[in-house]
Amino acid sequence: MKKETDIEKRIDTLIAEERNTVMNPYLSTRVMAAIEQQHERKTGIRPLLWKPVLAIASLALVILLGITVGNAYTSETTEQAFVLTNDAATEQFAFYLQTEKEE
Amino acid sequence: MVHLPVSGNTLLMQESELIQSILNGHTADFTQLVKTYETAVFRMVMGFVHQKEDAEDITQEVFVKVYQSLDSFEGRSSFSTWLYRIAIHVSLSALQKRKRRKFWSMAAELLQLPSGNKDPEQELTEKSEKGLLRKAIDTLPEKQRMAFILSRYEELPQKEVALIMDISEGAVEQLLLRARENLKKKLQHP
Repeated sequence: MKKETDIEKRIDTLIAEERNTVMNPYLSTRVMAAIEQQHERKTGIRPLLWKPVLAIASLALVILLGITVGNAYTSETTEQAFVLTNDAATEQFAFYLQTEKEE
Repeated sequence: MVHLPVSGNTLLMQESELIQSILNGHTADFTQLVKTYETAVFRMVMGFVHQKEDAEDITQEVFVKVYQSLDSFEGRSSFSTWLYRIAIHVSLSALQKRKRRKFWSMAAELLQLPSGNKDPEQELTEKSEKGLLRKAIDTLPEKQRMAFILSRYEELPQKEVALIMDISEGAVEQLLLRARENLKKKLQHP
């Protein structure tokens, strides 16, 4: 068990040591710089409020673009021409010639 | 009353005038308020955090907050009382944040090499000794800690501590007595 006076002395020593801690002599300059920075941020071209606004606007734009692209799609199928050829037989060039004539 | 050193003379300017001047847009005048109170705020914050760098950061935060809310200062209490209240609030908030990163700072402290001037064993004992004392102060109930720090670190009279904490002088005396007893208990049987 430690003596009471010893404990008080130890506490006093700690407090005295912490009280005598030398502070940064430029603290006031730091404070003023921080205030100035905040002031600039408030009155600057891009204040903090713009960030969420820009994010929301970008998201809305992407959604709108998605909807536009989605609506642009049509399910109409284009006409397709099939040519059934028999590889075992001689090519019937007459068919091709016929189509060329039609064009 | 604020004592402003101007070219070797001491200019006495009412705090209210100075505050009004700041509110009127003379931001530079705030430097005078900072210079007047920075040591007091720093000392008090040291009582809460015990680390120079943290205390400086918190002191800076206190003054930025004071600047931001200067227009809400109604002058019902003295400026210093209002300032101390803000400083206590900011310090306690910082301690809450600090709790979250406590694990990492403890790890960093363990990795720190002892300086060459002292015997490593002696330094370790001293470090743990101081650590115990700081822990004892830090684990005091909030109000007891506030009263203890304002009274011992700032050496403020009980009347002023009472005004800052918005309690009676008798209550401050009780808090200080209990804080002293608690510290003894914690340090006698760590």
